[in-house]
Amino acid sequence: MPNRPDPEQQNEHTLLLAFFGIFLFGSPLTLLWASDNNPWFLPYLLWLLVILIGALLSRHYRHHDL
Amino acid sequence: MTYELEILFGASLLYLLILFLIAYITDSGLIPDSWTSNPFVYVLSLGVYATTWSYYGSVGFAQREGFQFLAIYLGVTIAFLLTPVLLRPILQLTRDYQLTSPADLFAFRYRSQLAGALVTLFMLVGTLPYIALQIRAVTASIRVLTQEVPPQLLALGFCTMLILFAIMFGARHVSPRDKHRGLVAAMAFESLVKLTVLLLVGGYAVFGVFSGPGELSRWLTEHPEATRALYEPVREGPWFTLIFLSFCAAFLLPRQFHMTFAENLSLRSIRTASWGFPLLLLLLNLAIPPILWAGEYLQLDMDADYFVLGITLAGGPEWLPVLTFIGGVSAASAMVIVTTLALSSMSMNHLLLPASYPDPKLDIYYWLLWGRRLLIAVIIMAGFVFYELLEHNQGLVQLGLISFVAVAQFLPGIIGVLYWRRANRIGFIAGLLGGISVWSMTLLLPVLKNSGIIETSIDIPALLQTAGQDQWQFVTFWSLAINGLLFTVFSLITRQTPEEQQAARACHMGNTMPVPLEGVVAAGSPDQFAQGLSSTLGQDAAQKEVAQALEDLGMPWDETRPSELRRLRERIERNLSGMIGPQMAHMIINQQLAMNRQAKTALANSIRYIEERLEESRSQMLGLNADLDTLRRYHRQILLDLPLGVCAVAPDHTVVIWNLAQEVISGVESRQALGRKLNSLPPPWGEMLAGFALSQDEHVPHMGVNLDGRKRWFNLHKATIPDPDLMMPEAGHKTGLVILLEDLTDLETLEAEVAHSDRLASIGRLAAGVAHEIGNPVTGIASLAQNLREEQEPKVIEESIEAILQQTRRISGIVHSLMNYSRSGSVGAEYGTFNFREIIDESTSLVRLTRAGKQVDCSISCPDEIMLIGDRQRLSQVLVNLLTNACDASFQGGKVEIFAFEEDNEVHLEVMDQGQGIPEEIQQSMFEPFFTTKQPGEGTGLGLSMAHKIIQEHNGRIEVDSITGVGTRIAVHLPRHTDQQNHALKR
Repeated sequence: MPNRPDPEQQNEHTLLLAFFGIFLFGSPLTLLWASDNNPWFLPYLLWLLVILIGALLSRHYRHHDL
Repeated sequence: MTYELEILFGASLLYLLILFLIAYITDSGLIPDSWTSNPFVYVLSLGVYATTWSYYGSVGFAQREGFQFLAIYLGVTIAFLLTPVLLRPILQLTRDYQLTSPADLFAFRYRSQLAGALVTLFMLVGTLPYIALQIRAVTASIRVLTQEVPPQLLALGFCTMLILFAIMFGARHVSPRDKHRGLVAAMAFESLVKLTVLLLVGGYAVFGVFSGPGELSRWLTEHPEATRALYEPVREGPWFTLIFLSFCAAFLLPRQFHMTFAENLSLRSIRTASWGFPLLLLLLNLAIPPILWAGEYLQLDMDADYFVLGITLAGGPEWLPVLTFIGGVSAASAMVIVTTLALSSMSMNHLLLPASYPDPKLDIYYWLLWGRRLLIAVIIMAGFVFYELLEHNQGLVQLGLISFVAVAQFLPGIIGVLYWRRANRIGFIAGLLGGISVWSMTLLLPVLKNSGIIETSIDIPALLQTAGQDQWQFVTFWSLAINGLLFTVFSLITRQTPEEQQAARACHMGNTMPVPLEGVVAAGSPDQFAQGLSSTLGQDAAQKEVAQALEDLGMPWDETRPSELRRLRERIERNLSGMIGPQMAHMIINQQLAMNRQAKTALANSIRYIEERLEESRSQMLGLNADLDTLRRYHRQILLDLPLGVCAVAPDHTVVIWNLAQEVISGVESRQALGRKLNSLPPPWGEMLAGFALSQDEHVPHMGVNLDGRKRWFNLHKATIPDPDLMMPEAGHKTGLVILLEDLTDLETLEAEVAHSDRLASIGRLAAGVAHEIGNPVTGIASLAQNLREEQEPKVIEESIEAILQQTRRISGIVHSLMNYSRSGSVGAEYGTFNFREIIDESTSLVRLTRAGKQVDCSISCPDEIMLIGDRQRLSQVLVNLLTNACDASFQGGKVEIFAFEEDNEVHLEVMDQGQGIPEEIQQSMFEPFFTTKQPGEGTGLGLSMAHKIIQEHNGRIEVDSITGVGTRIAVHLPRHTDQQNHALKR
């Protein structure tokens, strides 16, 4: 039987991803990507990146369901 | 380009009819359930988050506040990414306890009707402006398209259609267990429409207005201020505050809570939603900047809130503005319908029912259903009235954010639900009142003042502006700071009620351990349950609810086991909670299905329930809980696989553990035994185990039981199980017991065979002596017979015959003793009273046949009247073994003395020899099986171990006293023949 991912590990990864999201969008790092010279779609790309990581994590932990 | 009002009205009517049709065919089962249960349908249905604020207002928001409009969705993204630690525990709670709204959740956790009522009222007040906003967005969009003020009747007609839809497809069932699949499908369709139209309009902005991405890019290069206007507010505005507010709104807004938790069709869907919903929001917002720039490029002379419509009017295809308008109707209707459904359910459970509970003579289901439908109409019409009173210049985003700050006030409460067990109702209510006060003063009051509803000289927004404070930042911070402070302080200085403590344990995320059910229900059967509930629910409803709960648990109507009835009570409460709210359900259950307060519940009574809950929630266990559960399963497996029968009983002698060995031994399956009283188990177990449980004995050896015509033998052991909840049991208080059943039957059979083999081995050793002993009389008989041929003298003949008979009697005696000794006996079947002296004589004569026996002088000192009770043959085997060993150990011409006497309550037998003695190290192991110091072929090593075993079986003991070079004394102590002993041995 393949090893199922540890639910505790899933929570840790979830929290890490949320912290990454907060770091990206809720910290002074905002000043970096919200610079006037950046392309207008940059926030969307960063948003998509966070969603993609979330989707990968969700896929990885798909066996650990309710 | 302008449109006729009739066309728009007709289009929106047609759209709403399509929505009706989708909901109808879904509810009719024409669309397979697997389609509506698909996670992507769930994700789309969550799109109800995007209202007209997102659909129309985002463009205006982007114009005024740049990319800050994205903050409203980034907070949601973070909340959904936190699904495993935030949303999934709430979903589990709402499913477990049938909670359908935030008010239900808080009323359940804080066990307070006031908390539920307060949350409902606050939600109503905070959401009405939001409903009004939706109506206004629809009428404003009509004004944009028709260039004329639409009649009030149109808004009223729109509201009426929404009321009809909400009643028909959102209030079909009373219980949340029956999901509104039609509603979910319709909401998913609405999201699909919004998304498609926004992407179409965005596509039109890029390809229709700008002639392609290249042109757009060139325009942006020529107008760097356009990009700057998007980025600048992010660096300077209340960006973080907006992210925080949308984080709270993601799951606390009534419509979000309703769609995410109450209408969740499949538990697995929330995993997909954790990334699918943020992706949907991203796609919905992708078109906003191009639409804004297209509006600016076209220099539209209108509020940017309606650029979505505006750019399609300026040269686009004729169908696009109508389609865009439909998208707006879709966004507004979805929000109003779901929000109203959630609010109606909350108002019913937390305002109407506590204020006026229906007469039990009425059909409660009918009453609840129509009450909820009436509330739907009232709430939508209240939104309409608010829309009428509202200042129409108020921005779409302004009104939406007022609701967001309102629901953010529930965040401390949610922390209390999931993470802080000490939080209590007083803290929650105090915090909420503090937060509401700040919110009302700073946000609601200005809106009402601007709309002319109230008159006041206080102008807080102006004051904040003068102080250079951002309104949203200020209000969010201070309302939550005061709320959180009051919540914390009051929770710390006041105490929780026991009910609240139990609810806190059930909700706490770190503790997935189930809360044990306590107490004993006074009602003794499901029928009595129905009877008790009928005074509140009415007879039919009570019967239905009991039947439903029995079906849920797979219990029969004739269930009477107390532990099962407690589970039934809990299940009924949960089911009622979904219908009438957790607090009302709790009150009704407490009143109508009272617990017997005198009857204390031990942990053992909840074992089955706890184990079931643990199995259900295993996948959610983390850290120490998961480790403890693994340990629990390991210990449980040990108990189950133990080759001894294990039967654990609660203090009321209800069976709580019945392991596999016990099933095999007794032939009673665990499902038949669990939850039953010991004395109600099938015979002979009921009487036997109940009798043993009540007796003073902790061990009963060698208990015989007749099973299927065959005698079986058991050793019974028991130990008390101290209940951790009852550390100091009162005098006379019963405790739980664990009873172990050791099946001796096979062992006994084996031992009988070994004993027989040992006897046969002894006989082998006796053979030479026996042959000699029989040979002598045979020779004598032969000589006498020879003489008789010649003898004529009658007297001599008479004497010879007598001598022959004497010799044959001697031979018969030897043969008889041998036969007695050698036959194989069945286990323990030969208990009886016998003379001790007889078996000593018999055994001595047997031993005298052996070579060693002939070389020693055996003397017996034993009164004739000593009587013993037991297995004569086996005790004789003991004597033979002891005497054989004594003779073997003796030197030629030595003496073996046998003393037997009665003293106190015992019969003592001493066998003494004058042999070489036994060294101390050998004395310790001489009773072990197969231990022998004799040469191979001379002894089996079983003699003394058999003797030891037989003496023990007769409740006796055997001792060795030996001095090397002097001799050995083996002492056997057996109980005297008394009636009591007679009874014990017979058992």
